[in-house]
Amino acid sequence: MKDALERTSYCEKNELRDLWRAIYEGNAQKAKEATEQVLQLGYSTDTVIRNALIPPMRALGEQLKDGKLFIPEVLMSSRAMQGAMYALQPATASNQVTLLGTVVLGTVAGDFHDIGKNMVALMLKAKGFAVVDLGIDVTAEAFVEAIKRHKPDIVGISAMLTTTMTEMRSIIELISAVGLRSQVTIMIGGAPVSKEFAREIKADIYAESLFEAGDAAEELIKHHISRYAV
Amino acid sequence: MIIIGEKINGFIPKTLKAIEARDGDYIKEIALAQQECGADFIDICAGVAPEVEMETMEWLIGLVQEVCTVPISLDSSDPQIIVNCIPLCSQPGLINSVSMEEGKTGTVFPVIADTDWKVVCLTCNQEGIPDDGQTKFAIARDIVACARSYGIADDRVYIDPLVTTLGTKSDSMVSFVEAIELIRAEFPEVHITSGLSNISYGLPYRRGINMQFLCLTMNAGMDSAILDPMDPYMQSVLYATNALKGNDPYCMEYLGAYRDGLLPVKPE
Repeated sequence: MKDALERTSYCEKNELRDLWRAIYEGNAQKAKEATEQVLQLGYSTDTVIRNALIPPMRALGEQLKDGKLFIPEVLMSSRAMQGAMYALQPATASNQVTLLGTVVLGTVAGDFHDIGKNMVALMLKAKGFAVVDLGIDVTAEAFVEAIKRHKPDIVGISAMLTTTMTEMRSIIELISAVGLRSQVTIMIGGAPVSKEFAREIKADIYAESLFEAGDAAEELIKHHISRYAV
Repeated sequence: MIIIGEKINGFIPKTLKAIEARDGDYIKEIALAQQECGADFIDICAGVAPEVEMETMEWLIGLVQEVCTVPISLDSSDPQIIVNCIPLCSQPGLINSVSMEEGKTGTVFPVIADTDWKVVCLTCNQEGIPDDGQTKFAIARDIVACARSYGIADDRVYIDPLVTTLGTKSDSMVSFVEAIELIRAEFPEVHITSGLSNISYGLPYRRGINMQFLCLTMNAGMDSAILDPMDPYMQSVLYATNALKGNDPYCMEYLGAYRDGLLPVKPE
């Protein structure tokens, strides 16, 4: 953990380091308190998210992949991040007078991975989007229902397995079949997904990372076009 | 305990290799070895693309029946494949599995109604896999009622209350055990089974979790399991738990398993 901390130069300031550590250790109470503290010290929501929330989650993801950490530990950190987000909410709301737009997000049916999707949700909220998170194991029908109900600008679909990414195609096909395709921009992402695959299943945007997802959504709303279009 | 031997499954890399290479000798070898280690059913799951599933199942069924005397467990998520495989079997076996979703029971139950075939039923429905014991039990009750309506006796029904992953849900086994207890109380004749290894997904030393899970669920009333009967550690749990529950007078079965070399220690 020390190495990971050292690598994050932004954490030189102790106040951000405390939050970083609370996220890494999965201490939700401490994460909430540390967030309140850094906001009082004048850090912006964006700085907090980019420098104290995302880096530890990214380090956790890497260590999970390497078998040094295990799923329950990452889930605890996700919970701590939610604690931090809860504390950030008032700040986010006051920073953004008007909402940029609405995004419906979900992980496909049969897939239970939520860390990447949650981080994208976090990024989008920080940018001023209203995010409707449908959660994990979301069917094509549920995506369609949510589009009808929330009228989002963007639909974000996540899949983390080669066996579940094909579900993305079914979701897009159903959205087309019910005549809603022209009303939404579809953005996809997840470990096995590629730009070629996005093109093949007729998605609009492929985001390789949560940063790209955030930037793509912002570009779309502000300029009606994104460099991540496929 | 009723043991369903899980090794002939295309989702196991070594088995898939044998299936793809049409290595019949390997399939026969693991089929017989499972029977010798006490499997009551030999599960057969092709785990290949839908277009070739039927011919692969047919090939596997032929091989297993060449060497085994115990019946087959037909394992496919496609109820039509299962129905088509039934006439290929020389004796009634087990269907693995059906659920109340997408009319699977409607395809399979009428075909096996007047036979001696047994059937594994999963406690999931259109809404997905429930993670609380009460809902698992409610679905099990619907399944038993449905089976009875086709004249399928309770002792031909194997309920699998679908265990969730401990790493993502701390009460996975608690709700599973609650389901077992509720099912046991209302349907004493029904069998309860589990694929069980899902419990330990994502955690280190999975074998340890699997072993204790098997012990605790057997204690709660689970009377069947889908596992690798050639795994001496799982065998030690099966025999030891049976003896600890007072079902093995003078520990004769436990001692027999030791002398037969089924446990993880060599007999002196």
